Amino acid sequence: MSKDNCLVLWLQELSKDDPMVAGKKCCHLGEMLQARLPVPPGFALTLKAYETFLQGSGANKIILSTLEKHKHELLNDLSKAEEISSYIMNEVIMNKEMPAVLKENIAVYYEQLCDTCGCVDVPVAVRSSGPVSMPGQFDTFLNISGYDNLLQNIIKVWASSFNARSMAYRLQHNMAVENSPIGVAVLKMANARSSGVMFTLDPVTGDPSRIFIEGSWGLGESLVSGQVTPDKFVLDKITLEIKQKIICDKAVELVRDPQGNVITREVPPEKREIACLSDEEILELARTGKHIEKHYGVAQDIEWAIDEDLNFPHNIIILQTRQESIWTKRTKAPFASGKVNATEFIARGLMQGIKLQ
Amino acid sequence: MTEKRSFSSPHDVPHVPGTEGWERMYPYYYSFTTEDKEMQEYENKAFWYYDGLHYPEPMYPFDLLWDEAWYMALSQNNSRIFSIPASMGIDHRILNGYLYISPVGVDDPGVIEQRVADFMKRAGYYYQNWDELYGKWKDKVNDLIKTVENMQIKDLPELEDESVVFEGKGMSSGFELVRKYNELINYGLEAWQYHFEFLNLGYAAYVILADFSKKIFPGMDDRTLSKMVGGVDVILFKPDENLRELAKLALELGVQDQIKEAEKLDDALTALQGSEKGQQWIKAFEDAKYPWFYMSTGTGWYHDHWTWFDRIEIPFNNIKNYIGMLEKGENIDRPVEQVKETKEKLVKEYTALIANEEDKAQFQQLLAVAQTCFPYVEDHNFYIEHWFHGVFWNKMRELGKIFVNHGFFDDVEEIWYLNRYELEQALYDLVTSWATGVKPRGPSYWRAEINWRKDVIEKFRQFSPPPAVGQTPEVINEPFTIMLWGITTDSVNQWLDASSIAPEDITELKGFPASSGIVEGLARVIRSPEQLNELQDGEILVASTTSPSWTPIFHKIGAAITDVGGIMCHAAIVCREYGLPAVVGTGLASSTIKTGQKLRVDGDKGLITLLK
Repeated sequence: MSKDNCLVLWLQELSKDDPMVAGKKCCHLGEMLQARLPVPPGFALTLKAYETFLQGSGANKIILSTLEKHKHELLNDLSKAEEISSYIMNEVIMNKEMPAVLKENIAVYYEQLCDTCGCVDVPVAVRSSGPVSMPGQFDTFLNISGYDNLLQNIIKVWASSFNARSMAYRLQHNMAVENSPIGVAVLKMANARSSGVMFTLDPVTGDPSRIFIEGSWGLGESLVSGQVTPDKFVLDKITLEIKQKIICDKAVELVRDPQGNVITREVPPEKREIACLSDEEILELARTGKHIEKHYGVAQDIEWAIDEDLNFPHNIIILQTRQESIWTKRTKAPFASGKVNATEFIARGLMQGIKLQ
Repeated sequence: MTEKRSFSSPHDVPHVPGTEGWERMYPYYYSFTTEDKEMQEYENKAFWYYDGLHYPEPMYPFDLLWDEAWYMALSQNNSRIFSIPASMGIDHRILNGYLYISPVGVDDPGVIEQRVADFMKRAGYYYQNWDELYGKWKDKVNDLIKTVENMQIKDLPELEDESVVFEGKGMSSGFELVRKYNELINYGLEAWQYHFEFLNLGYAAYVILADFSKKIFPGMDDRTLSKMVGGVDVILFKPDENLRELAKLALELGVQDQIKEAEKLDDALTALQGSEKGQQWIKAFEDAKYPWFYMSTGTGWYHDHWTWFDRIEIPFNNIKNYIGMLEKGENIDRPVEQVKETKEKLVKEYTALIANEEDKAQFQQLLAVAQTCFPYVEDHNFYIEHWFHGVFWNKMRELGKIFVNHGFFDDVEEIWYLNRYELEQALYDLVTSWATGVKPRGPSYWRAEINWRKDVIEKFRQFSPPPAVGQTPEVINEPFTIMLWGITTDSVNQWLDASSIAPEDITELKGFPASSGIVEGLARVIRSPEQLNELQDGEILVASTTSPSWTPIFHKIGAAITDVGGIMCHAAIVCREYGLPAVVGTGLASSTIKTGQKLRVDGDKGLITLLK
C-alpha cells in the first residue's frame, strides 16, 4: 500500500518528501528518526485519516453548510468568527464518533508503542502537523495517557484546524476554508526533568560559530510562555568549549502530577539557582545540535528535553527542530568589499582603525 | 558617551622626591618638554601609556639602547617604508624612569589615500614574497650575530705591537677600541632595524584578519583565532624541547642518577665523564647548547636578563625536573600533534561556517596572509632579543672590564648606569688619557654620578607608574598598539576607573581572556626572573610580563596573570599551549595583588577576583 492511502504510519516510515502524507512535523520527525537523532518514538495520523474522519462521521457536510452561510463574517466580525469556530469545533466535530477503521488502526499502533516503551497506557504528546507551515495555528496536547483519552485528543487536534485564526488565515490566502487536512503526531511523552530550546547560532548576533542553549526545570512549556527566566549556555560550535553560563533563578516548573495532569509548581529552593543541565549534558546536547545542523545543512532552532527516566546520554531527547527563522533568511551583504586582494583589504582596514570610547 | 575623561597631563605628574635632575641620565629627547609651548601642547593632547610590557622596571641608562632602537625602527616601517595608511610612528618619553609611548596618527584624508596606494605596492610586495624575503632575513641576522660574536674587545697595551709599525697600520688600538664600541652600538641598532622589517606587516595582517573574523563571528575570541594562525614548530619552544630530549636521553642511557644526584652541573659532568654512556650524554648536552642556550631567563630587554649560557644551572635544573617527571611516568612532550590537529580542525570548520562565498574567499585570503606572516611574528624574538642580545650584553661586559681596569668603575655591572652617548665620551676620555699618559677625568666624574644614579633608580622602583597620561584618542590605527599592547576602549576605561580607586579597595581586575579555564589559588607576585624559584606548585603567577624562557615553570603554576600584553604576549601563548587559564593586560595586577593572596582567575571572562 502506498503511503498516501494509509491512515496511520510509523514516524520513521516518513521522509522529508512526504509533507502531503501526514503534514510537515510528522515527516520532519520521520527524517530525524531516520537520521538517528534522539527523537521519542511514535506514529502519525495521515491527512487521509483526517478526511476519513470528517467524511465518515458526516461532519464535513455540516461544516460546509455552516461556512457557506457565514463565510463573509469570518474576516469581518471577530466575535462572530469565534462563535462560528466554537460551534464547529465543539458542537460539530467533538461530538462525532471516530470511524471504526480509524479506531482499529490507532489501537494497533498505540498498543505497539506501549510495548516499545515497556509500559501500559504510555503517556504521549499529541501534536498537530500541518502540510504547510503555519506555526502555532493548531493545538497540541501533552501527556495523554490511555487509548480513549488518545482518541479524544486526536479529535481535538483535528478540531483545532477550525479555530478562528486558522480559518481567517486560509481565507486570506485563498485556501479552501471548509477543508484543511492536517496530520497528527503521537509521540512518547518525555518525562522532562529539564527542557528548553537550542539554536545552532547566536540568536542575538547571528554568529554561526556559536551554539546557544536556554533551559529550565520541568516541561518546556514554561519557557515558551515566559513564566521563567531560563538558564543560558553558550558554546563554541567547533571546539564545543562552554563559553558562557548564566544561571538564573527559576521559581516555577511545569510537571505532571500523579494523575498525569500538567501542573505548575514552585521549584524547591535548593534547585532554583543551580544549572538545569550538567556540563556533560550541555556538551552532548550541543553535539546533537551540531549533528542536526549538519544533517539539514542550515542553522536550526531545536526543542529539547532531558528525560528523567533515562540514563545519560540517552536522556537527551530532541522534540522538534526547524530552520532558524531570522538569521538564515536574512540575506546578509558580504563584509568583504568586492573583489579586493588581501593587501588592499588590510590597507582599508588600517585606515578605519579601532574606535575607542 | 558622556563627558570625555582624560588622564592627568604628563607635565603634572610629580617628581619622586630625591631624584631631581634624573632627566640627565637619558638622552634629552626623552623628557617631556619644558622649553617649547607648541611641543607641550602636542604632549598634553597625546595619549601616553606606560609600556610595562617591555619595561616592568625603571630604565637603566644604557639599556635604553633597545628602546632607542625600536623607537626609530618600528616608527620608520609604519611611516616611511611601508606607508601604513593612517599611522605614523610611536613616540616615546620617560617619566620618573618609566617608559611611555604614544601612537601618532595621520589626519589628512588626502594624505591617507596616497598612503593606501603606496602601502599596497610596498606591503603587497612583502606579503607576496614573504618566505623568500624571510629567508634572506635569517641570513642577514645570522651574519650580524656572527660578526658580533667574533668581535675582539681588548684592553689597551702599554706599547703598541711592532706590527703597527712594520705593517704601516697607522692607527692605534685605542682608536680601534673607540671604533669598535661605535660599531657594536650600530650593530645593536641594525639588529633592531631587522627586528621590524616584517613585524609591522605581520601585525597589520593579523589585526585586520581579527577585525574581519569578528564581523562574521561576533563571538570569536583571539584565543581561537591565534590557534588558527599560529605556527606549530615555534622556535621559542626549541630550547626547552632540547632540555626534554636531554632528559629522555639520560633515561635511555641510564645515566639519570648521576644527573639527578649532582648539586651542580659541574659535579654531574665530572660523574658522567667516568662512563662511555655519560660521555655520550655530555656530547649531546654540548650539541644542544648553541645557539639555543642564548635563551634569556627574562625577555632579553634588560642587561640582567641572563641567558642560559650565563646561568647554566637553570637549564640543568630544568633537565633534572624533567627527569623527575619522566620517572613518575608523566608525559613531558609538547602536544604538537594535538596543536596541529586543533589548528586544522578550527580552520576547516570555521571556514565552512561562512555562508557568503565572497566573505569566505576574503577570510581565506586574509587567513593565508596572516599564516604566512606568523612564523616571523613568533620566531623573531629568539633571534633578536634572546640570541643577539645575549651575545651583545656580554660584549659590553668585556668593555666594562676595561673601564674597571682603568679605575672608572668598581664593577663591570656599573657600565649600565651610563647611556650610550655618555659611554662613548667616557671611552674617549679613557683612550685619550691612555694616549696622553695622564690620569683620566672619568673615575672622579663617573663614580659619584653612578652612585647617585643607583640611588635614583632605587627610588624609581618605589614609584608606581600611572598606566597612562594625556588624553584618550577616539580611534587607534597603529597595528602594534592594537595587537601587542592590546589598547581597547575597555582597557582605557578600566585604567581611568582604577586610577580613582585605592588599591586596597579593588576586589576585581579585568584583562584579556588569553587562555580558558577557571582556577583558584594563591598569588605569587614575581618582579624579576631571579624570584622564579620562589614559586610553589599550583600558585598563580602574577607578573608585569613573562618570558617564554619561563616555560619550565608553567608546568608548576595554576594560572598566569600579567599587567601588560595582548593575545600574542608570551604568557598568553604559553598558557594556551599548556591549557592553563591566563588573564593578560590587566594594567594593575602586579601592583594590586600581594603574594599569598587568594585569587580566582577566570580565563574565559578575563576576570580576576581577589578573595578575602
